[in-house]
This record gives sequence, structure tokens and C-alpha cells, in this order.
Amino acid sequence: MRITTENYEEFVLDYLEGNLDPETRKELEAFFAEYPRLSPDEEGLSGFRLQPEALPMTGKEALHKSLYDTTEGLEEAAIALSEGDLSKEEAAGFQQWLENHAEAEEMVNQFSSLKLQPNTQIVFPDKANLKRKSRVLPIWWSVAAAAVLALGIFLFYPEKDGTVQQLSNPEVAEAPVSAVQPEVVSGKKENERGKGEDNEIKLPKENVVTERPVRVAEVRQVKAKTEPKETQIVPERVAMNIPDPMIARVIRFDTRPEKVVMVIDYETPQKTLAEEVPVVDLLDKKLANSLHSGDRELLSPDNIALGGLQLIARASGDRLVGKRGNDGEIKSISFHSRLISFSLPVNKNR
Amino acid sequence: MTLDEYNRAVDEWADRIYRFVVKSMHDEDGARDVVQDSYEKMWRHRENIDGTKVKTYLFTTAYHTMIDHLRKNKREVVGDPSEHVTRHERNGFSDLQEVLHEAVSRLPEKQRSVVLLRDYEGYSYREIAEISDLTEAQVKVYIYRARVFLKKYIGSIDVVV
Repeated sequence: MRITTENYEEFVLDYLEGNLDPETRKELEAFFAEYPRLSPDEEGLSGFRLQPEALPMTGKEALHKSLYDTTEGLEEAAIALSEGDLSKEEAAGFQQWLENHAEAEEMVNQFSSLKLQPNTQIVFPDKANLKRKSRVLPIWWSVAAAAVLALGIFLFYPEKDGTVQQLSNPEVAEAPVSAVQPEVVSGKKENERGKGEDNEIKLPKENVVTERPVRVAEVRQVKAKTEPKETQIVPERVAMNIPDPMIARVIRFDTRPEKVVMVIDYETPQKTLAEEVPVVDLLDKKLANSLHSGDRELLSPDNIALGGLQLIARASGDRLVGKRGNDGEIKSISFHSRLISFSLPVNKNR
Repeated sequence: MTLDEYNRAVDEWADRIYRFVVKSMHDEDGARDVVQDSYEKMWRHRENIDGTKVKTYLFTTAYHTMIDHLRKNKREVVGDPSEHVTRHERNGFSDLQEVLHEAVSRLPEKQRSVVLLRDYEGYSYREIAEISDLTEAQVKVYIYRARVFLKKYIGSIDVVV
């Protein structure tokens, strides 16, 4: 390119900054030699550099955009506002933004007007057919199952040897207890003697005398017969409830005008009996004893009944439990489920 | 360009674009309008803007918006170094930068813009050419002429002082 008075200016800055290639530089210097008045003042030009001034823009914050400035954000906020999904702070911020954006406010109003109102005239004609019948059948099944279970327990729960509270037991009522030599019966002895002879009465607890450090067994005073026997000693019938696992011994007898108090000491059993025992456990023992007993045939009606009852007990699980009384004996059978709950007293005679 | 990138561009470049425009236009209100219009254009075209080239996009947009604004209002200031002396004596400049900025205000529009982009923002000749829609040779010529004008302006002050 030939340097002329028309184009020399575009080379001057590169020349002053040393960015020209040697050939162009040589040509430019020859040009300046030919036109010395056009030669740049190197020192004079290099000193005129502008320094930036601190000139901040006021109101710069107004340039910021929010999510509402986007189409998606605005629509989402408009819908949320019409649905009432915005928090108080969000709604206030959005309303403030809308004050400066009239065109957006119109769109928000459109969204608000788009909410549909339900037409209550439209109803489903066959609604009655959709209704379900009440759960009669399952409840009757449950009631029937419970009845069968209760019947099975009533019929086949075997009689357990031991004490049964029967106030009207004539044999016990006739057995006199000497005021001076009362018989102390431990649980084990009571059980042994109770086999085959129901001469023992356990009466409800009424009078309890406690002396420390020993404990007093429960003693119930029973009215003596109005007609005394040949001796002048007024007989008294006494029934005692002493738990099976307790071993008692007589400490002393306190003879009082109205009654005789027998003070006994007994050892507290190491293991307390649970108040509730799963029936399945009880039947396990009962069935095992029955199957190994020589008194009954293997397929005797009682064994079959016990087996059936065992099946029911296993199906019921923990919901079918036997509840112990104060004496540790099973007093009742209880069944609890969401549909039905019942409790049946145990008939020890069966 | 995301919303966050846009707002970062406001924080980072708004002051510098405003400074460039207000020095080019000598009209603060007009410069504010130019900056706002520039950012509005960027917001409208944010889907097509590369987040790494925001500065060049903003200066380019601001430059052309300013040119349009000046042409609409016909406020271009054409410099004449001989006219400054009276103003200088009245204002009493204290240092060279004040005199230079006064001299820059008297440069023709394109010379003023390119020398500001060069000195304020440090853009290369090629970048300035892209922003101002000129050739690189034109940019060099405008800057050279601006330097010569400034030198004569300062020199005339020296004579007066």
C-alpha cells in the first residue's frame, strides 16, 4: 500500500506505538521526510491520555429485573396471586411491582377472571347406585366367629383342679376349724389335697390383718352355724386365699372374742405371674398333658375339642388371653379386636 | 442469558456505560435514557446473548442508541480548538485532566466516542471498530485526529496561561 496524504493517518498510531512492520515503517518515515509538517509530535501526542472519572449512575437499581419481568415468572405469580398461594410478603412485593407495570396488571386481572365457577346444576343421576351397603356381612361373620369361639371355650375348656370360690359349698361349710389348731395349707398342699375332694372354699377377701414384718394371709370369717355341736366351741368356717407359689408357715394365732386371726409368714415368689396369659399357651400345656395322659384316648372328644380350640387360639394370637385373678388362677377368657371384644368367665367345673 | 446474569451485568457495567455515554453526550438525563434503553434491549434479546460477551453487547448497543438519540435531538457538538480560550479563562481549570475532559467535549462525535472507548475502557482498535461499526483503519484515524486536536487544545491553553 502506498502511503499518501489521504491515508497516512491510519499508520501514525501504530508508528508511534511501534506496531508497524519494518517495511511500512520505512515507507512512512520516507513520507514524513517528504511532508515534514505532517510528521507527528511523538512526545506531545503520548501525553494526552484521558483518565476515567468516578461518575456513578444514579437510579441504577431501577435497571434490575425481577422474576416478575419474565413471562414465566409473571404468569406464575399472577396465577399464584389469584389462587391465594402467595405469602403476605410475596403478595405485597408483587403488588408493588405491579404498580409500576400497568400492562402486567392487566394480565394479572385476566388471570383472576379466568377462575371457573362450578355449575351446581350438573349432578350425577345414578349417585344412589354408587353407595355401598353397610358392612353387615363381615360384622356377622365376626359375631359368628366370636360366638363359636365363646361356645368352644365354654364347652371344652377343661376343668382345672384347684380352688374355686363357691360360697355355697356344703362340704367346706361343714368343715369346722378349730380355734386353737387351725390348719395351714400351702398352695401345693392345697392343690394335692384338692384333687378329688372339693372340701376347700376360697372366699372373697374381706378382713386382712397386717403385722410387720410379717404379712398376713387373707382370712375371711364366715358365720358359724347358729346351732352349736356338742362341744361349746363355736365353729367357724375359714377360707383362705394363698397364692400357689407361696410357701407359708404359721407364726401365731390371735384369739379374739369374735374371731381367730391366724398370722402366717410366707415367702414371696421370685417370679410373679403375669396378669394375662395367651390362651394358646394355656392350651399348649393342656393339650400336651391330655395327649400324654393315659386316661383319655388319643382321639377322644375332649382332645379333638382341645385341638379345635387350639386352632382358634392360634388364629386369634394375642387377642385371646386368659386373665388371672388375685390367686393366680385363670378367671376369665377375653378376646379383643377392632370389631369385637368380650370376656367370658371360666367355668372350672367344665 | 439468565436473570441472574442480567442483574450482574447491571451491577458490573451500568456505571461504566453511563460514564461513557454521559461523556459522549454531555447530557445526564439523555445518558440515563440511553443506558436504560440499552439494558431494555439486552433484556428483550437475552435469549440470544452470550453471557460472556455482555460488556461488548452493552457498549455497542449504548453507542448506537446514543447516536440515534443525538441525531434525533441534533445536539452534536463540533469542536473548534480556537473557541475554548474564553471558557478556559472563565472556568479556571486546575489540572491537565480537567482541561482534557473539556477538550474531549469539543471533539466531533465519533472522535469523542472512540477516544473514550480507548482511554476509558482500554478497548483495542479492533474492539472499538466492532462497537462503533467502523473499520479498524477508521478507528485509528479518528483517534489520531482526536489526539492532534487535544494537543492543539492544550497547547493553546499553554500559550494563554
